[in-house]
Amino acid sequence: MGRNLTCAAVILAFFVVAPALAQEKKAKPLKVSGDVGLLDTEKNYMIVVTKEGKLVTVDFDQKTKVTKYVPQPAKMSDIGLGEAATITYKAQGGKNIIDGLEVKVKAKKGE
Amino acid sequence: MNNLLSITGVVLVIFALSSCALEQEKVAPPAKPAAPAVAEAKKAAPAEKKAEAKVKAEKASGDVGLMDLEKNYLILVTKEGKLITADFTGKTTVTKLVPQPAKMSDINLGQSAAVTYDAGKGGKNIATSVEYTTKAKKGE
Repeated sequence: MGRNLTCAAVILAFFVVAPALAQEKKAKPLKVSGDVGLLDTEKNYMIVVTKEGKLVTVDFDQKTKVTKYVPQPAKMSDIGLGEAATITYKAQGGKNIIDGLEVKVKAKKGE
Repeated sequence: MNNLLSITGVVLVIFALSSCALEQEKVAPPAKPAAPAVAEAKKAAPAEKKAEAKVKAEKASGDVGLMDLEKNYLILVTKEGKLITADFTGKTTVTKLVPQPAKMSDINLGQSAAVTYDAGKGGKNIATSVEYTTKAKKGE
């Protein structure tokens, strides 16, 4: 009877503690956007200045993946549904007329 | 008698002329402010036009929810769930941003970038990825 109780207590404790431990390990990655205010390639750190004027210091290493997005001319027919886009438009005569459209092409896996 | 009549006549003429002049003086002042008002109106009109032109340009980001190439319109779904219907024409410039691998040393100061990082132990933020967009060269 005593053993059973101990086992039950251990199993319960496991179910309570395990998710908390998993959350600690899987800390969500944070994202910051802004202008590069400082970039030190010797000390491997950079400072990003956000729109709100907040300074975020971030270290980088060899594992840090750097991707540059190069703008290339395209056609409307190249754009697929669900793709992330930014449009610049003007309201004219009750209609929104697009001046420019930018679509971010998703990086292929492994790139 | 003639002298009296002539003097009276002269006085009457002078009175008549002076009263006309006084009336003109009284009427004249309201005319002056009218000129600046017209000038101000002329100045304000182009300013309003400029303001309208500035206000109209808007920017929106989201996912393409619908694209009709026959009717030339698309629907953009923003992060907030707002649907924006917009028409495009032959003049609409379409640009695709193609990802390419780069190095940290390629990044210039002042360039806008999106950094994904882990808030590691010891209070240090370790970047896992850095994304930035290069500006299109003139003529592209």
